[in-house]
Amino acid sequence: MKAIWSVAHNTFKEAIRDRVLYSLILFAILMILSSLLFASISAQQSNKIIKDFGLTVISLIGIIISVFLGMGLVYKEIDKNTVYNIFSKPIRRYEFILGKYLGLAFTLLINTVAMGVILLLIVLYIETKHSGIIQFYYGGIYISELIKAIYFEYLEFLVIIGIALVFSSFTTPVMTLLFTLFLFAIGRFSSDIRLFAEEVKNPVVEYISEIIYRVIPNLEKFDVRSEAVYGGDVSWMLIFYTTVYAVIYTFVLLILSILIFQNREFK
Amino acid sequence: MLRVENLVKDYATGFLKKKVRVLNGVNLTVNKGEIFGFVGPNGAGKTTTFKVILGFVSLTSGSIELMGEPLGDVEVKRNIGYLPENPFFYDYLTGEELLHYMGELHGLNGDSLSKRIDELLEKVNMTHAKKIQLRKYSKGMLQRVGIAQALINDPQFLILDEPMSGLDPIGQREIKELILEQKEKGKTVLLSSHILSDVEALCDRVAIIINGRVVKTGELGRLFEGIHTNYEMLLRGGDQEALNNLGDLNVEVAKRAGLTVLKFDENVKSRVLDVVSDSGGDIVSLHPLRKSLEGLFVEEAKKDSHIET
Repeated sequence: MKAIWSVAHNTFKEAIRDRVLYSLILFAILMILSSLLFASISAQQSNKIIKDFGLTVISLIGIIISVFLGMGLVYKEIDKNTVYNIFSKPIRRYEFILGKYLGLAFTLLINTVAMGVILLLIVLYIETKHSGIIQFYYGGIYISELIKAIYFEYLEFLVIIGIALVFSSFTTPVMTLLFTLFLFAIGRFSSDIRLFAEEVKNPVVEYISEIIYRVIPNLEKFDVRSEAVYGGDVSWMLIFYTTVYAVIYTFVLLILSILIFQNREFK
Repeated sequence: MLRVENLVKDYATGFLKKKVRVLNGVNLTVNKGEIFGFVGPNGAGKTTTFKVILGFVSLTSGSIELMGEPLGDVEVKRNIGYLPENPFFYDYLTGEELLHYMGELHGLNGDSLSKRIDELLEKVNMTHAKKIQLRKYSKGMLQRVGIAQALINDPQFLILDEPMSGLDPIGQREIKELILEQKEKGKTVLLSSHILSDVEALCDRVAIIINGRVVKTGELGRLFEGIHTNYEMLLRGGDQEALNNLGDLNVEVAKRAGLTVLKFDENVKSRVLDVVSDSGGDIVSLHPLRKSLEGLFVEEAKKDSHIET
């Protein structure tokens, strides 16, 4: 068990030293610039735009980090022969996989929380500037909805890291990148694919789209941006079900990665 | 300590997954407390054997018993130290951080681990570089820190793949002393090398592996019995015409600093001595050329009907 934390800690250290947190600076600059740009619009309007933009950028940066760090997560260790050092020690292969996953998940947690805090501060600042007092409630939308939307985005990152990890366990980073982006795209449009199949009315297409809909994670479930920005209720029930959905999916992806990695030869 | 019997390893290569036999019935026994050398030319199967022993790759057939346990027991690795060939470590870590990580994987922590790290860095003369990232290390420095990480758990059994590689003569001497020190402490060492002098100075016994097969095992001195030796003779003066005719006996004749240099195989030694004596030349020196491991490889390869020499 301790070995899992050691691997996770080292994975986190690698990400930090790979200057992942520089993305925070990029995010902060983007947010400050956009808030200056929209400053002339009314508080309610500019805050909506900034929240929408902020959530989109958090999602984009998180996905880029998940995919680009995820694709080398296991492959790099094999390619650079560091697996020989690791597995000459008393560590089991599943412990290594779990450690790698948790290390990157923790990196993204830190990154997402930091980006979320920057976004919240900017939103609060604009609101305060316009109204003169700190308001946690405006235009029918609570700040809490924003936090929920960021949480949902983080759940999506957890699933994407899982997908990248599966491919990284047996193929090259380029292939992992392609496969992960492919699955990501399908995941983001899975209900559209289903809708398309219904329109086509071809049993084969319908059958295939049904399989895709069932097997590939439906990443649309993690998008509650419109609720957070334009008003809408993100219920605790929805949070619970979406969390369970992400956890189950991640669990399956981890099991798959472990099964693949268990029999991997380090030539 | 280690028993390897009839180890066979096939790799599937290429698109058609064609099978290539890398290890072809390796037999090996390493006894407790000895330094065992595993020697052979590059590509003979030394590293692959280690990889199978440590479970990095599966075996095709055969059996391995490591410290009394069958292959695949992770707990056995608590008592093993391993230095990979051309070690590459996480280049974003410092030497100290690497040792810390490797120690943690052995379940070590706290002050005892920090103390052990300081001790080992001192032992391999790397204390000055402990706060430097590994990306700035030279090959020799990486080799030293690699040996330190292999010793982090004070292992009973050390497996070192080409431990002298990348080290300057001083570094090589230090590492040799370190290996001998392990033996004095009652530890067992299995090391591989393709350089004869490395194993000669250290090993109690050696196994020679060629083309995936152990062709000889035993004490090093005995392995060279029956191997042809070449001689070099330096002569002053003598009848040059008679000496030049030695070419007929496959003797190399050359001139160096006013002396005649003769190189010949041991089976024509007595005839060469007769000719030299008749020519009136003055023998300045006569010495056997060092029996090279390569020579031994060639001899063994000749015996192996499967190998063209």
